[in-house]
Amino acid sequence: MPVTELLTTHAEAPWLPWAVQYFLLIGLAASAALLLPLALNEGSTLYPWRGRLALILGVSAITGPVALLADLHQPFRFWHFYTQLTPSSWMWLGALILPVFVTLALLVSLSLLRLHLSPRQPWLKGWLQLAIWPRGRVLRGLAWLTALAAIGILLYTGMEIRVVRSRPLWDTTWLPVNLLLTALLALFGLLLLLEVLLPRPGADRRPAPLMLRRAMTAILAALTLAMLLWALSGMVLGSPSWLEARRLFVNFTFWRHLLLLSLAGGALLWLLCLSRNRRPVSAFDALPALLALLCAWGFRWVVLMNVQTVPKYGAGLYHLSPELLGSAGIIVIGTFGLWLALAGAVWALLDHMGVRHG
Amino acid sequence: MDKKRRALLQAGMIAGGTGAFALGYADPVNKAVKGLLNGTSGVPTNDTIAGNALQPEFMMSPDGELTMAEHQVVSPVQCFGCWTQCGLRARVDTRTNKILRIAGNPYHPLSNPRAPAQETPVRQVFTQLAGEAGLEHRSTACARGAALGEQLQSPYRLTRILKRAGKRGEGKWQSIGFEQLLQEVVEGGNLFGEGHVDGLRAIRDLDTPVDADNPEFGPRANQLLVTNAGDEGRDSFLKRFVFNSFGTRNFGHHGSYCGFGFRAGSGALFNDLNKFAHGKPDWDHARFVLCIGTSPAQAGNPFKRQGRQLAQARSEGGLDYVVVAPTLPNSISRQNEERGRWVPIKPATDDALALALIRWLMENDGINQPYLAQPGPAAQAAAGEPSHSNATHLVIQAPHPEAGRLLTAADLGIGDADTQLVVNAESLELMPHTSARPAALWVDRVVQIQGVPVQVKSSLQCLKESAFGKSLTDYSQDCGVPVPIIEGLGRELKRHGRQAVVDTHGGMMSGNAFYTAFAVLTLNTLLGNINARGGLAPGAGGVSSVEKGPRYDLVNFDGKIAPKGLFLSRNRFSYENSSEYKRKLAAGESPYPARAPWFSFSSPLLTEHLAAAFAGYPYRLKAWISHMTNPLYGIGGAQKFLGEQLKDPARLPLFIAIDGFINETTALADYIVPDTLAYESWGFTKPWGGVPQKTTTARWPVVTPATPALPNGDHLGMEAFIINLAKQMGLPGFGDNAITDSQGRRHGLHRSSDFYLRAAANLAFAGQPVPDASADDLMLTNAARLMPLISDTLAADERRKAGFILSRGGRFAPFEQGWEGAMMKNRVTDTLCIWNPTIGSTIHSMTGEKLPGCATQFGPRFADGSPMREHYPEREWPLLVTSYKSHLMSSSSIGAERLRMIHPENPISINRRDAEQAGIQHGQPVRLITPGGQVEGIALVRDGIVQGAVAIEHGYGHTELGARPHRVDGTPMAANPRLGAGVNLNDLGLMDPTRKDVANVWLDWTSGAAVRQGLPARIEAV
Repeated sequence: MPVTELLTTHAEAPWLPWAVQYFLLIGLAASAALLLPLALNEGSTLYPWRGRLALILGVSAITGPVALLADLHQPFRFWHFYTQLTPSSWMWLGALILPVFVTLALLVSLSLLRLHLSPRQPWLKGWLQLAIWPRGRVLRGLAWLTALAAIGILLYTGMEIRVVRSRPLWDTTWLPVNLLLTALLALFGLLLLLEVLLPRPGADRRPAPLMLRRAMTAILAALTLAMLLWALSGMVLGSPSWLEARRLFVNFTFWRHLLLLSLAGGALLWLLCLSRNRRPVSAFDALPALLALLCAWGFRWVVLMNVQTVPKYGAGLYHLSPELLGSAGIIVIGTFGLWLALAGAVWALLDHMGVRHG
Repeated sequence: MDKKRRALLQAGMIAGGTGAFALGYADPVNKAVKGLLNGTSGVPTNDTIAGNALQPEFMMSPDGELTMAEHQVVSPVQCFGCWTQCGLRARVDTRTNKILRIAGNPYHPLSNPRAPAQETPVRQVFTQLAGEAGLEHRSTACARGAALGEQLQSPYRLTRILKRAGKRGEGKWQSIGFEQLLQEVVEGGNLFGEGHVDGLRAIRDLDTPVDADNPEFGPRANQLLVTNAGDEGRDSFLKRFVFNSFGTRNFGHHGSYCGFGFRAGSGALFNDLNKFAHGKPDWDHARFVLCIGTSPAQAGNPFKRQGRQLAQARSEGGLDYVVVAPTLPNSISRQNEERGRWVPIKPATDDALALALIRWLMENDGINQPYLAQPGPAAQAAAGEPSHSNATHLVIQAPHPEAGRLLTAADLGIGDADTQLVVNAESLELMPHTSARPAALWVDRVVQIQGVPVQVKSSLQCLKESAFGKSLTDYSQDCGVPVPIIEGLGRELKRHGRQAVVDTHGGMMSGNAFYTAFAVLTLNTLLGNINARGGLAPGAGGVSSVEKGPRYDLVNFDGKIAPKGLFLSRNRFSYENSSEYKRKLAAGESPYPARAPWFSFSSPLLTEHLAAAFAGYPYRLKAWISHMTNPLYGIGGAQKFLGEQLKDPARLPLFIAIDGFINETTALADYIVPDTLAYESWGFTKPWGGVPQKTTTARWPVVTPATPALPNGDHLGMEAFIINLAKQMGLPGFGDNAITDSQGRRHGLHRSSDFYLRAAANLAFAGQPVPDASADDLMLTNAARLMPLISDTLAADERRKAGFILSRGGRFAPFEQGWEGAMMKNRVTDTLCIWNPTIGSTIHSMTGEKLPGCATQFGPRFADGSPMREHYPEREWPLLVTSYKSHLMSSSSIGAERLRMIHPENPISINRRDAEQAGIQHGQPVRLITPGGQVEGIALVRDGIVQGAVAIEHGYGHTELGARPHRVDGTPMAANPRLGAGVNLNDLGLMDPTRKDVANVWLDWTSGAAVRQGLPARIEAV
């Protein structure tokens, strides 16, 4: 039976998509951090992308927390986390993990970036060649530590949403898993996109990029499996998340459309990945790459924004106020803008004082 | 990519990205800087988990000892979130002079249906609120009551005296001092640079007639109209000034656009066309309640108490109930589906349903014949009935010139005119109604009056003929309720008899309001449930009058004036007694129709006051003092029609408003005097109905008012303005020696407390005096803060007793005093009317026809008696708009942010099938159009509304109260366009197309109540 919300047909969104941006960017950073220690091994298939992974790690590790800060309604209150101990809170644990992760991430990515720079200015050159810069085994060790911190990030971000029982849709162990898998999907999408837009000079255009596609397909398979298991376990165990999802799909056309859209997006991504399995990388690959990024971002939008149309106490859905779209757009564009500006800066830096290592 | 293009791209990425980021991040940065500047980002919270949550007001030690939080007290207050006016309790921070939270007053029956005895010490009662017992003893506030404390600090509140600096309604003001205000309004002059304006001193002419040709209109002093939103506890003070000190006849309140249709019908039933008595179901004992046009837990009065009683009775007791309404209300819960049912009905057709039920009950032995057969008090007593009616009394029939009144013993020369005649049920002879035996129910015979044969019928016979005018099928077609449902409702009423009650209220406000309400309520008389336990219970009222009590006489004073003349709204006065009527007769013209309706049996009507004054029929106004009234928002079509005229100072030269906020009406004022809010002021109220124990609520300033303090310590507000106005004008009843005590000593009336503390003493000493308050009572409730003032004002033996009243927030009869055996303890003793002879003898001033004195189906009509659909046919206006009351928002609460957070706007409800036909989807913007206006809102497509109806919840669509910025001394006041969210049904109100001469909006054609149910309309997607 369709249920109509009587009390509040149109609601203002209590929160804006800062969290969506944070979750996407920190997901990119954390998944890049997970892969980076492997990529630093010369024998690894990921080796050719170690520089790009470091770039994604560094830039995302800055932009993510910037978005997160804005998510606090009073940004400069962030330090309250550190004066008031609340070990029972995942968010508080996250507040401890995040600075560690960001510091390590910046240290590792800057150390790697340093290797590619040979500035003409003697003071800069001297500074870059200081002995305190980690290198070799130390750097690799730091990369492993960053990966460990990244696990902490993935755990706390997943758990802080999962523990909210008043939002049954979120209340499932599969949520952190899906956040991780979609983050990986986005990461490989981004790597593929960079491959299309900025082919690495001298790189073999055949075998290596194929790895990106294959990895994407594998993640997609894992993601599909995770969704199926969420549904199956939900059906068998009657988990609140599944029941709420079913209620939404059955009762509300809006959520039904959302489900169909997600399924269509997933199917299209499958199709795009499989159909061009063996072809060399071309401009066409921008499509699956962008779609993968969109899937990861869209999942976070649904989880963190669309969920606001489901009232905590009421029965039907709220329509979110139309003004939401305007402010949401500025936020999304703004945070991606910061990401692009930082990436552009690194790129420019490499162009002007870079050394080519192939 | 060459190097140049790459550099360009990189520069673009950096510049564009940074720019976009700066744009997106401006808001957080702004917030961060603000947080740094005002320090809120640098203050750690009080507690890691609880943050800055308030310290609880009470702490209980393990052995049950109660301690108050530091700097907190819990004082009794009276709510003004709606007209139920519950007694509440406010947690006050004594350091900051702020109300922190609001909940129910545990002593008060409107907030706690099983309140403890008032003698119980405050400490004990507070202790009972804690722990496990807290649930049983809990005393609640509704959402409005809990939220409205924030009005005290509202940014939209007025605390300065304003004088308009531009044209009326322009929103430009200058702040002025109190002396200037008094000087200008009393003496008049060229106040606004628009020419001379008469001051109140000039207007108060008690000798010169306002119209020499029509001496019955009274003196020129009647050209002052004073209106009060309603009696929120200060009516007696204001009336003292209006009637007895200034001497104008004209005092109005919001009743005529609130529930007057219901009250008028109720007054006809209770034979009380003066105070319009009414009753409410005895929820504690009723077995079946049929609500027609009222929805307990959604609206009605007492709103909160009734909602709680309903919830309890349907879950734990044996109550079944049905709500008949166009929209599915909150009264119906799926948790109790077997108990409560919703019966959808077409708007404004309840008269058809009521008459159908009357017919069914008469045809199916459903009326209580033994009860109805008792003609008077003696017979009632002999038969052990809870009340008696005039069902058996005989109504004189046409063509007798006095048709419609009852046959009296004087007519036959066998007794006086106060003795009605009835037919003895056994002997079938005529006998006085005072006989202690039953009379015949169905009478239609001829009697000789002074030798002339005259047909008489019993009241019940008249009602039967009225109800049998249509078949059940016809009635069903009119109202859209299927015949089997009507029969089912009839069976339930019959089955439960006296423990069935038919209740109604605001749903009656249609184009046939009076007769519809009368018809619905007549069902109770037929069931014989009035005064019965579990039946329709008359309100017990207040414990005593506070104005004329054992200690002080607050009513009489030297030089007291009795107002004279015709009420501005042409009410309580028969057109046939007017000079106009006599002139027309003398000129050989037909006296009918009058220039505009005369509402001979109604109370003063604010729905008609302004239109009457603007048209000068009967006479014009020179000044209006409005205390919190907002007719332009509350009356359908008023903003457009009356608002435009009010903007013209020539129509009404002086308009003084007293209010805490600028509402839609006071925005057009010349002066606004800031008023104290409910928690800052004094007042004494009693429940309207629905409380079987006698109850008087006492309220007192629990915080220091935010309005300016005067040299004598009083704070500016309605009372301070009136006292000083009267003193400036040298009027009787205010100033020195204005109050006399029981010993004959005189006391001054200079401050509001001079009046209200003495009222508290009267209440304390009424009947058996209350005990003294303990020091602990006074400390816990902070009534102690008033003790210096009390010592200044009251005699030594009165002080602690007044303290007792203040610490309890009123005076309350014990719970057990609600009932007496199978009856209510507080009962009406008058003869209840099946046929109301006053109504039955009334000639409608426009049609020239006699009105029937019993329930009759007329359907919605205009002033000349023509059906609404004759003017606005269904094919052009297929929908009927209906209004329903919000359980969250009142007409003046939109400024409360906490309420707006829960319920930010009101959508336009429309049935799913109607929406499909009009191509409208849920959540879509729509335009609703009536012949009177149009509004745009959001469509709420639902099944919980009858097909053919469109429903609008009242309380939204404001243009003032903070929705629009005003400028004071050139500086803008706070404003927020969100306060204007949603739509106001009254923007759709119609003009009465048949009132050509003295125009006004559509009012009930007999009572003058505002019409807001059943407005013809059409809808379209925007």
